[in-house]
Amino acid sequence: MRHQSRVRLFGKLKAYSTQGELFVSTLETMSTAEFRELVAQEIQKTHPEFPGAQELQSSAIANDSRILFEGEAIGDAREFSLLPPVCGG
Amino acid sequence: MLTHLEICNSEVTHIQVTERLQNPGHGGQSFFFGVVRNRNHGRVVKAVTYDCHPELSRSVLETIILECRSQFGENLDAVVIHATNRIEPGGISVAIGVSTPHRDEAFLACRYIIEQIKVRLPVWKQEHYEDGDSEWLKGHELCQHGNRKQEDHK
Repeated sequence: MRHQSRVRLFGKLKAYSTQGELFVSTLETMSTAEFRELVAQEIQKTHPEFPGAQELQSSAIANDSRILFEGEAIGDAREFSLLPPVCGG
Repeated sequence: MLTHLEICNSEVTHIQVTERLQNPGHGGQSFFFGVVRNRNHGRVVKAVTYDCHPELSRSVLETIILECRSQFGENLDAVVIHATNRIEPGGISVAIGVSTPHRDEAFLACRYIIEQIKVRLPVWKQEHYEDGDSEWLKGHELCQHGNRKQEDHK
């Protein structure tokens, strides 16, 4: 079943959203790759210059409790985060 | 056994870390303070903005401290504070304090924590340069290994 999910963006990806978040309609069986494609399409609605899902390839996807495995289904969470490569410290 | 993990909204001070480590049974304390530099790759840096996923950062730090206790001693005390928002050169962006019964473990654990923070903590850095330009720094991907690390320690 489809539902509306909040996607939090971090680091350089924040430039592609207002308030660091956007909303997409997700399916719990959707893979991480399909999720990136969906988010890329949503970004392109307001930023047509955005290159597409390949730009998100290096970004991990987290639900509200953990980082998802590559290729796993995203599940029924209502909130996700896109995490570009990190550089803490 | 003390664990203090904090994501704060401004630069960190030394005392935030040092005053929390007060264990009379511990003979070794080790500290690391990460400070914003005024130059990077030949460019003059005016400030660095730190972005952070606070909930996941806390969870990652908890995991790192568990790993530390497993490797360097269950009675290890640890304080880790990471700054967010804009920090100017000279400001402390990350502070780590570890205390253990003996010095070896304190040194090793402190080093372990900062090295893990560098590659696993969901924090991002944007440098602001003298010429008005700014740039998000390249970092380490979490896609391949981040999730497995978390799963391994459940």
